[in-house]
Order: sequence, then C-alpha cells, then structure tokens
Amino acid sequence: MATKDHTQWNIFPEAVANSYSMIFFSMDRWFAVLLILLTFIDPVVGGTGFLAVIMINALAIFLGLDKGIIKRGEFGFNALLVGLGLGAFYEPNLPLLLLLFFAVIMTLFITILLLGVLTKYGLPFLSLPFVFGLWTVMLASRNFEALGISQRGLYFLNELYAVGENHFVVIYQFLNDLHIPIAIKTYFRSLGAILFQFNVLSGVVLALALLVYSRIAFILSLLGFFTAYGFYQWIGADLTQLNYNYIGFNFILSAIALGGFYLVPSRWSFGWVIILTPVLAILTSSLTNLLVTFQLGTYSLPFNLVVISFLYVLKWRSSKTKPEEVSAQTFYPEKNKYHYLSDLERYKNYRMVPIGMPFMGEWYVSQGPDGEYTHREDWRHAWDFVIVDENDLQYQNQGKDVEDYYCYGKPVTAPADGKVIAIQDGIEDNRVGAMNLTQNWGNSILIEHGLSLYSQISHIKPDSFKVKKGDTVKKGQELALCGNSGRSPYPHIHFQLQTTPYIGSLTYEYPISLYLSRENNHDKSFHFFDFPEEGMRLKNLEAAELMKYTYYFMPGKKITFMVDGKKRVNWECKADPYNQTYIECEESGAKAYFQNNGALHYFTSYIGKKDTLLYHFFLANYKVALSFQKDLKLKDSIPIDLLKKTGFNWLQDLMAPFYQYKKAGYVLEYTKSKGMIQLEEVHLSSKVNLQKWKKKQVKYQYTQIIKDYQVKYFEIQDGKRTIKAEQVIENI
Amino acid sequence: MNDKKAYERPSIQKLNTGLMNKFGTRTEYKPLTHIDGVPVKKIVEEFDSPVFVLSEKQIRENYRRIRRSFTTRYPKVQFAWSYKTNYLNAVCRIYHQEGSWAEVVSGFEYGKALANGVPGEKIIFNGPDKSEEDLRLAVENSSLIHIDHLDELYTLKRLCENCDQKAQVAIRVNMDTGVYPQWDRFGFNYENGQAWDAINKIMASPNLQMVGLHTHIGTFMLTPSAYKVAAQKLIDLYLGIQRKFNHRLSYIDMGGGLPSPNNLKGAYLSGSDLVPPINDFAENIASALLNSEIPIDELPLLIMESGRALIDEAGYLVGSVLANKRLSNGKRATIMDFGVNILFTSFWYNHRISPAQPFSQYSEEMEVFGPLCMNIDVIRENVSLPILKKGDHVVAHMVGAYNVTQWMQFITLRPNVVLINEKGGLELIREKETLEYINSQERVPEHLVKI
Repeated sequence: MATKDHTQWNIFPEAVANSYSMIFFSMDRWFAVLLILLTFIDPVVGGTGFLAVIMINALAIFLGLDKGIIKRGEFGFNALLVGLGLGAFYEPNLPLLLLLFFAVIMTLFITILLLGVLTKYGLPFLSLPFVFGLWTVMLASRNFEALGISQRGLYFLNELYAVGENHFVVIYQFLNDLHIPIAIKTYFRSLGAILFQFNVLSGVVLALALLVYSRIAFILSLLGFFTAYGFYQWIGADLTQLNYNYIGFNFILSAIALGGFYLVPSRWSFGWVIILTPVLAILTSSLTNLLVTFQLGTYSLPFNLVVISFLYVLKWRSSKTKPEEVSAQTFYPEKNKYHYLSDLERYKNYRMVPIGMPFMGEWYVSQGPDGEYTHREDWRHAWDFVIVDENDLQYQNQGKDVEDYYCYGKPVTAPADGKVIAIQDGIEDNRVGAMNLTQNWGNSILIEHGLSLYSQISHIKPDSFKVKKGDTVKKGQELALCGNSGRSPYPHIHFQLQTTPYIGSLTYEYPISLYLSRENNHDKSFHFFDFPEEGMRLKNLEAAELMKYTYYFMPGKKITFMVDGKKRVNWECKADPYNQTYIECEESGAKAYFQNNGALHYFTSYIGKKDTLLYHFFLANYKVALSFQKDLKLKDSIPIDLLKKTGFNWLQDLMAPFYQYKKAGYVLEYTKSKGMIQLEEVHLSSKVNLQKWKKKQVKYQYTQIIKDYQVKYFEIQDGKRTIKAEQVIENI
Repeated sequence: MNDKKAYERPSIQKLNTGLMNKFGTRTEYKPLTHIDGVPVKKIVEEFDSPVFVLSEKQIRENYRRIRRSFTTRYPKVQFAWSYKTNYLNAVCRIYHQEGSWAEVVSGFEYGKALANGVPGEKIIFNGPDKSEEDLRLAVENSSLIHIDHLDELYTLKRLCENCDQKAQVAIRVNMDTGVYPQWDRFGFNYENGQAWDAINKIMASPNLQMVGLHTHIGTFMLTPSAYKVAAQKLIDLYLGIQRKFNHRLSYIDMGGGLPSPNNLKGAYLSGSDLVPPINDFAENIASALLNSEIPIDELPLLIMESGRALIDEAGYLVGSVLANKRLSNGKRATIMDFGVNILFTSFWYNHRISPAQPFSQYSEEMEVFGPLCMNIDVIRENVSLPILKKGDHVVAHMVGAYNVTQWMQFITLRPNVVLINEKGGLELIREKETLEYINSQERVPEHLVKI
C-alpha cells in the first residue's frame, strides 16, 4: 500500500468530474465536462455547485473516506445538487458561501448515514442526501437574514448576455420563437431543471449530451417523461405542475435509473418504467401537497422513493424473474446490457469450486439427472456411473457375479480437494440383481469441498475405504473401491452434490468442471462446467502443469514483451483490496481483470486503451482451459463494447434493450503440442469474430506458443497488420 | 446346418478303464468355421493354406479392454506397442491409431517405427543392442533411450558430448521380485547397487537427461504381485532421485510380460484357468504407485509395453491336413501343412486346434506334426481331435504374438498374412514369399554360375 497523503489527492480531478456525471449515473469524462459547462450558463449556480463539489471531495479525502466512493463521485453529486440549489435560490454573497460550506458538511454526513443504512440492503442512496440537505438549509435560512432570495431567474436574458453575450441570447430567442410543442418544451425544461437550469436551451444541450453519452439513457428519458405527460393528460391532472414546478425530471431520472442503470435494459425494464410512472406521478402530487404546508419543494424525493422501494421489492424475489438487476455496474446502460448478455452465456453454469468426477479413466453415465429409476424429485441432480466396453456391455462373461462388472473394485477418487465428513461402511455387497432397500445408500463417503458444498459417493465396496473421517483429501486421490452395496442391483457408483453435510441429503444442481465426453465411440467433445447426460462416456480432463503455471499470474509477477523486436512492454500482475486480480500495463495503466480456478483461466473485464498489447492479450486469452486436448475448441461470447471500431453502434445501442444483432464471439483452438510425457509446448490459436445479423467476420486472429511456463510468442493478426511479440525472460 | 453330413472314416477306440480325467473327456470341441464372420473356407480359397489371420476387431477390443484395466485405476497411462511381438506394419499401425507409442529393441525395429510414422519422441528404445548410429538417430529424434549396460551409457555420453541436444534416457532396472527365474541379464541390478551407480553417472553427465525408469521382470508372468514389488522398487529409486538430485522423473515403465490366456506346455491347468486376469496386474501396479509417497498431482506417467497379452488372441493360423498315418505304437498321427517353421510358439504352447468344418462326436487321440522333414516338427504331442481327413482345414488359436516375427523359411517359404478388417473384409497385409524373393537376396559367385 502506498503512503496516504500524496496518492489520495490523485483522485481529486476524477472525483470532481464524476460528481457531475454521476447525477445521470455516468462516469463518462466528456459528459462530465459538458455538464460542468452547462451549469455555468448561470454562473452563480455553476459557481456554487462547483465550489460544493470541491469542498465535499476535499473534505472526504481529508477525512480519509473510501477512495473508490470518492473517485466515483458518489459523495460529490449530492453536494453538487445542494450547491446548485443554493446558488439558484439565493443571492451570491459571503454568508451564502459560508452556508454552502456547512451545508456541504451536513450533506456529507447525511450521505454517509444513508450509505451505512442502505448499503446493508444493497440499495443506493441516490439523491436523498441532497433532498434532506437542501430542505434543512431552506427551512433554517428563513431565520438567516443575511441571505437574499435570488431574483435572477426572472431576468434570464440578462444573465445569458453576461455569459455569452449576444450569441446565447440569439439562440435562446431562436428556441423560444420556434413553435416547439409545449410537451417537448416542458421535457427540455425538466431536463435542465436537474441542474437547476430552468430553461429550454440547457435542456436541449443536456438532451444532446445524454444522447451522446448513452442512447438508451436518452430514449429512457423520453419514455419516462412522455409516459408521465400522457398520464397527466389522461387523468386530467394539473399540467402546470409539470410546466412550472420543474418536477418532470423525477420521471426522467427514474426512467434512466430503473430502465437501464440498476436493471438490465430490456422490454421488462422498459415495461416497469411505464408501469411505475403513474405511481411516481401520484406520489409527486401527494408529496407536493403535503410539503407545501412546510413551504418545501418535493425536488427529487418522489424519484428517490420509487426507485429505492422498487429495487428493494426486487431484492425480495426468491426466484429468478425479469427484469434482472445489473450485477457488475459499467455506468453505461448499453454496456450493462451487452455484458449481461455475454455473461449469461459465459457464466451460465460457472462455479468457483471446480468439481471433477470421482473416478479415473473412462466411465459411462448409466443414470443421469432426472433419471428413470432413482434420480427423482429432491434427489434428481445425481449421476450413476459404470464402466462399459466397446459393445456397451457393463460386464464380461455372464454378468452373474459382481466381479464380472468392469467397474466393480475400481478405485473411486476425490472429485475435488476437501475433507472427509462422514463415512458409512460395513454394508455387504448385494448379489447381482438384488437390492438393499433398508440401507439404500450402501457404503458411502461424504466430502466437504467448501462452504455448503458436499459431495457424496455411494454403493462402495465394504471395507475398501482408504481414508477415514476427518482426513483431508486431494483431488484425484483414491478413496475406496466401487462396490454393490445399498440400493444397487448391479455394481455402480452414485455421485451427487449437496449443500448439507448428511449422507442422503437433497441433491444440488452443480456442474462438473472439465471433462471429455464420447458418444458413438468417436465424437469427442469438451465440456466446461456442464452437466453429464445419461448415455455419455466420460473422462476427467486434468489440468496440465504447463498450462497451470503459465496462467498463474501471481500478484507481483512481472511480464515483459518485446513487440516487433523493438518496443518493450511491461506488465505487472496485481490484486486490489477486493481480491480482484488483474494484469496492469505499466505504460498505459490499462487493466485486464482475470480469474483462475485451477481448471480455467478467464479474463473478466478490460479497462483502458484498446490499442495496447495487453488489450490483445486479454482478447486472445479470454477463456483458456488449463489442459491440452488437441483440436478441441472453446467458445465464448464477448460484450461488443469491448471491441474497438465495430462500426456505427448507435442503432444497436437503441435496439439493445430488445434485440442484439451485433455479436462478438471468441473461439480458442488447441492446435499443437510438444512433449510426449509431459506437455512441454502448446500452440493456441484464438479468434475474435464480429457478427452483424447473419454475417460473420473475423476481427482478430491470435497465435500463441506456450513454453517454459510462459506465453513465449504472441502474434496478433489485425486485418492486414501483423504484430509479433516475444516474451523477454528476466532473470529472477 | 443344411449341408450334407460330411463323410468320416470309421475309427476304433480302445476303452480305457484307468483313472478318469478330472475334467472329463473333452468333447466340447466346436468347429471354427468362421473367423469374425468370414468363412475359413473362403480365406483358404483366396489366400491359400496355410495362412495367418489377424482380426482387427479383436486387436482393438483387446487393446481397449486391457488399457481400460489400467486407465480406470491410474490417471496417467501410456501403452507402447512392443514391435518384436508383431511388427507387421498394418498391425503396428492399428496400435498407433489406438494411441500406442512404439517400443523397439533394434535399429531395424526403430526404422520400422519411424517408417510407420511414429514421431521420434514416441519411440522407446530398449535392448542391449544399439549401435552408435542407432543411438545418434535416437538422440536426434528425442526418443526415449533405455540404457541396458554401462558400455552403452559411456557410448551415449561420448556421442552427446559433441551434439547440442540432450539425450532423453532412462535405465532398465532388474531386481528380485520373488519369482524364479530372476531376469538379471538386462539392465542394472537394484539390490546390489548397480542401478544407483548408473543413476549417479547419468545425473552427473550434463548431456544426458534422465526422464524415467524401466523394468521388465520377465515374460508370461503368472504372479501379479511380482509387479507390485517391481513397482515399489522403481518408486524407491524415483523418490531417491528426487531426494538426492531434486529431480523429478517423468515416467515409470513397467515393461511387458503380461500373459495371454494361452496353454503353457507343462502346465497342469489350461491357460484360461491358470492365467490371472489382467485386472490383477493393473491393480498391483496402480496400487503400488497410488499408495506411494508420490503426491497425487505429481504422479509419474505409467508406461506399459505389453505385447503378447494384447495380440495373442487376435491371431489365427489356418492350415490343412496333408495326411493321416498311424505310428508304430498304434497312435494316430496327423500331418498338417504348417509346422514349427511358421508356428514357432508351439515350442512353448499347446496351441488349441479346431477343425474348420463340422464333425461328429467321435474323436481320436493323436499327435499333430508339421510338414517339415525334420523330427522336431511337432505341433501337439497328444491331442484329442475329431476324425480328420486329407484336405480338411484346421485353425490354430492364439498365434498373434511372436509367430510372424520369429518364423523362418526353413524348408519352405512363409505364407500370407491376412487381416480381417472391422467391416469383415479381407486384407492381405504380408504377401507370401516366392522363390524369386528369396533368391533376390542371394549372390552366386562367378565361378559357380556354370554348373
């Protein structure tokens, strides 16, 4: 960890910028710059807002609060809103500045208070600190005579002139003279009101900025606002509320928050935006009426209440329904969608603890999950394994004796590292055809593999256990021999995973991490975190030492590549305080996050410029099985925003909530290996494809040679350009 | 069986009142009219008699069965096809297709393996006879050289001094496994320290890369536990090398010697009753490795060099009756058109012989001779067979191992070898020899041209 004082302040500029964009749930740099400029259309408002942002972020850093939260502007944006509000309502003078400072302190406290409470429920605090902060100041300020109520809003043209001289005035007049329908005008005004800019011009600029930042956010702003507008008209409510109280922005912000930020943008999230808008409208009206007694504005309170309560409702779901919550926030609704779609494919069955099958060599699934005989109801996620010969027979000779069965007496092994929790022994093997229904599990072993993950192997040969209760076992270690005890008419092993530590517990659906299956004797296929099916011949695929160590990017490890024989590129493997591991490019600061569970290496995300060697390394090794099987292919899906230059994306962005016509895919092929006894060299070839509608096109092609526990050679084929990189061996 | 019943000459049988055979009289002989569904008659018509017949289906099935015995007990297993057992290219290629490496014991076999497309690093070079030229080639190809004696070690060391490549070597270790006779003529002895002496010398030479350990405790082994002893002794060396040199070997080669269920001469029981199942051998070897000190994720590769156990049952020799006669003591004798010249293994096995056509329940005690004009040419000294007549076909069983490598053209030439492919088609895989072929290798000195 670096020393505190200097590095803490590094994040300051970023914190300030994000404090602006975070109002719209964004961390987009250009969007932030535009918002800053926009607030300065009214220089006083802009000034107080900016000051508030500076103050709160400085205060947060000074107090040593969480760097990540500061950096994301999450402390800043509420103070910004308070600052903008105070600037808008009061005359600029020294007392206001002082008041601003204390208001900022208060906002920070409220923010942290809410953060502490709401985070426990996984909920955001949104702009509640702003609402409470501004209310407090407004209520108190009635006693503060030094503050003068601003009248600038009344003479807007004067101010415009002061800032932009004639140009702004001309634009303003032009916009005013245009016969824009009142609905659209109100939309722009409402949008501007978010930044306390109560005019059409700001609204137009903001709308354009929103469109550039995110297409989905833009259409959501329209959807939210116009649904509300329609609802007001239909119910005959007072439209002036929307026109003059500037509360239309509640609908816009709610639509963006629920339609694309906290929830994955889809027809479901859009649907909920439409359903919740009337709720929001009713709440707005009632709150307005309630608060008018205290002479307080509702500001963004309705938005806060609706969004937070709806998110809370969603958290109470006990089954997976739509709309889905965004699991890893990208701060772009489009990206949220693309990542969601690709993750859906990527991590469909992915689990952190890789579980193999409890045997050596090739076995056969005689009963799979939801099987015909015993794998039913609560015990449906289980497998029965036997050995069969080339003619699909389980036995030689007549099959009258248990010894005739190929699997009888064969070693049963640990499916993963773990600890023996229970062993049941002493039940005699049945004769072939007979079953022991009173002790139906027969001799069994139960192994704990982690928190609430247990595997059970049953029908073991009596007196064949080679381990005892309490032993720690390693993956692949021999535990006992396959037998015919319990409810077992012919020798086989029963294998199941469960979440409770008892023999015979309910089964748990859990995939097998890495295996080869063979059907019709020859068609081999490769499975990753998949579920073996009845009738398959299966073999565990072990991780190869070469692959395991090559992709073991231990924090602190340094990697140097020589690109095209002239440029040195240095990377360092690191881990952040949240134990997320990544490779960082020293020069550009780009980061490629990865995970490795011993069976599989995969990159989870990439942050940084898309022209670095690390970027291509990220794509080339997007997902790598840490073993070798010639000619086998591995496929995966890449979120399209991770590719550069994929052409005009706006149409896809607009359609993203409903349909994806542009897809990016990843294919890895194990082409060649050297070393007969142990793997000494592996050649990998990977491709990144871009698919538009039905048309597929290869975007990048990579060749890698792995040797001496390193990616020795890395070749990038980017269109006609070929880049060659070789790893430089540093003496350790 | 709509065929007309075959004519059998009358026979007279003496009634014996002696002790009953414990297994009863053998009347269970069945005719073997088809091999893998192909009529024996058709094979003879197309390829003459005698003819060796190999079944691809049985070769593959047998290989997979035996391989399964090992792979379901031990995670890393590799088979290497023993070329000396049967080095016909077609046969070798079946094994290579199944994933087998090659195990060779001479420059000639090494060349054959290379010609069969086996990559150098998948060839294990055993045996006491490796010429400098052979060794040089093996080093260049990164083949696994199993050193048999110190002289070979010194030669290899000298050869490697001048090349930039390291030789991939292992030593062959011989040991007392509790069985008699102890094979101690190959490799270095474990008990008297020769093995360690060789290991120390190899580890000290920078140009030799020690990658494994090899043993081959005998042939047609009937004691599975001997393999356990052998494996334990190799593991002891393995761990010793790791401790002493901090060097991890890649493999342990347990050699071959696994028996086929053939009938050994002099054995009281028949092969199927005498020979332990391959599972027992696999169990002994695997359990020795798994229960050793070696950590589970560092287990070495187990190499098996089985030959006989894999192929013996898949080979048949189809022949015909040349003549019947009666010996001076009144015993019936049958002369076949194949003898010890091509059925070399009849020196140590009582090969089962089945007539290839239906017969009645009558049988005769007889001695079966080969066609050679040589007294030793006896296929079976005493066998009870149905009444056979001239021209009848017979099939000798379990002849897949060693015969087509040890046969000779003593007195007559070597016959066709046919493979029945998996679809039941007949493929000639070695053409019968001709006079021209034999003569083409010969040279007649000038002064002997004119006679």
